[in-house]
Amino acid sequence: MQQHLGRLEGVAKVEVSLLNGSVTILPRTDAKLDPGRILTATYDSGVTVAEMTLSASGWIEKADVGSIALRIDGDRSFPIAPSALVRELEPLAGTGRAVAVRARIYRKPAGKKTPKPAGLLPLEILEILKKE
Amino acid sequence: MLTIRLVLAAALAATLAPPLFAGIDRIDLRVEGMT
Repeated sequence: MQQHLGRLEGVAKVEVSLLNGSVTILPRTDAKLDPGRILTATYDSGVTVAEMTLSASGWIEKADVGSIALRIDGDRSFPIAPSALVRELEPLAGTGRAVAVRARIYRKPAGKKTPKPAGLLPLEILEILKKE
Repeated sequence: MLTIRLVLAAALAATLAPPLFAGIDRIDLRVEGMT
């Protein structure tokens, strides 16, 4: 799995802990990590992803009515699921102010043993790491 | 007057510009079935 993930575009380093069942993927400085491809590649390497979280920085923008999204570059933005922490981010929408968050983007559906990942979920904000 | 306009334009651009270091810093997975 480590080699499989390490060959993906944008991946600089893959750290695996067999003890904890955890995998950390670090990007190259000049590249873009694609969480969807990492999810699929991990599944294809023969293991089940129970949860995927990411740390990302970008800026907040308005998405659909009453919701916001985290834009991390010109062509990629991730919708944000409603939560108590989101209220702290909502005033930043459209201001262009930088924000860094840690968020859950995938969780294995309950009750299934080895499901094929259905796809990424809206970001569930776990922590606001930095606000300008 | 021109100076004031330039300062205001620069301030506005700084406010609206995207952050310099945007992107995904790391991804963490919790996996099952790893040997």
